[in-house]
Amino acid sequence: MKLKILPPTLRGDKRYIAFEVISQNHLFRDDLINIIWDACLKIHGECETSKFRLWMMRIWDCPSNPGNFFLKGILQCNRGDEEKVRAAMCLIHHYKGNRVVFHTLGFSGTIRAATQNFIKPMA
Amino acid sequence: MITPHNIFRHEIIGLNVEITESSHDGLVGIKGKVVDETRNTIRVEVRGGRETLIAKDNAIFQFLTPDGEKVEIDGKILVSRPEDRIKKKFRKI
Amino acid sequence: MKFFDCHLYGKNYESDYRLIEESSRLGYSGASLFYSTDNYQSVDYLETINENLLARGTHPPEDTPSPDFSSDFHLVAGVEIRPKHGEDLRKKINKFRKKSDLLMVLGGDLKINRASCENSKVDILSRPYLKRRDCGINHVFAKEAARNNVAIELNMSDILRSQSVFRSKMLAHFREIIKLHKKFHFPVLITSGASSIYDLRTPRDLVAVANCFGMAPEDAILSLSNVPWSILEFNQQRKNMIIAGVKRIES
Repeated sequence: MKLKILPPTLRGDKRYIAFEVISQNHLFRDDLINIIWDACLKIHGECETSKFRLWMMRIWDCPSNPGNFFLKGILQCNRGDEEKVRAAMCLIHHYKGNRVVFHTLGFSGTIRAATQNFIKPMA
Repeated sequence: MITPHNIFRHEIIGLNVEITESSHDGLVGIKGKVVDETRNTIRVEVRGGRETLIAKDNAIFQFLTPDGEKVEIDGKILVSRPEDRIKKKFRKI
Repeated sequence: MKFFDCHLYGKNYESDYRLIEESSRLGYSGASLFYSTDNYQSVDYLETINENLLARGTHPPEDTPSPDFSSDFHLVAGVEIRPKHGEDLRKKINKFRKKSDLLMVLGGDLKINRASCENSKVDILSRPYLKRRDCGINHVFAKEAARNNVAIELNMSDILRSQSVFRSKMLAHFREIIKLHKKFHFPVLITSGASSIYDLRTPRDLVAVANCFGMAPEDAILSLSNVPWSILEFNQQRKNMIIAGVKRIES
């Protein structure tokens, strides 16, 4: 049994953050979730992070240079808090001894627009 | 036999009633005997022979059963024609 | 201001005695101990606890730091039901409703959350977010809980014993429940969920923590004082109530 979705007045606005990750080791979905949550907790604390309503939507493996791993993904967060999440992601540098870097590609109101504009733009 | 368990399903014409609370202040304190009943009102005969027509859904009534027990009933659950009240289902608490 | 701590775990005479002594010292005017359905029959020692604490209150031993135990400390025993499915829930509610002063259902499963919100014999729905990724209730459950006067409990021990990621997820669940409470006005209880004296906190401290998940101090004070007392008063009149709206008056 699943919960019925809240009506639009109670739902709360959200935004989708498109980001890319370059790392020395292959990262899975769970690893990415842990990295982002830990970074937000460290810089903003437990109370502020509980307001963000972070949720990882989808991750793509992209072709990369040998020695590096390149991933792109879409993260859901609360509208109004995207800049704080962006700041937290930008300050990530290590994960389990390996170097990691996060770049935000942009924000969007829908998943479709985020994938079309940031993840898969045809050159 | 009128008991507190079946009084709300029973015929209330002939019982003594007192109004304890109401959104209309003029109705509080009226005591008397029920003479007539319709879907939304009851007619109460007060001491002195006067008859007052009282709306059911804005008042809380206290009925006195023939055995001497007092029962307090919210008027909102009595809103129905007397012949329909026998079949009505009530929410158990 | 009379504060009431609703959820204390009852185990045996020793730990219960110490819990009640400590909660009286911290400023609560009443507490309720909850037992599981198996232990509830053998709870005769509540009155002995009350008597012993009163006796000790007038002559406190010299080495204890606590002051007198006040005689108007209200002690209540309740039952905590952990049902497996809807049928089980209905049977246990019918069995324990007349025997106990407070009835609490442990939530977690959506079907059980729904069944307890729709049942007017339930007093408290405890921890609807247990072992879930979402907060456990939505607008449908909130409307039903407001109609049937079922209180939703926010257990502080879930925040206390968790760390980092889990703690912020718990705060997010509490925030969702408070948002629904502001719209639908079902009763909300804040409790400490203590099983030892190290889990108890003073009422003002709990009000301060409630500010972290979006509850205004006035609302938090109400949910620690008015809401539990009103549930207890209603339950005392429950045996005189025949159906919703009909009350027998004892002259």
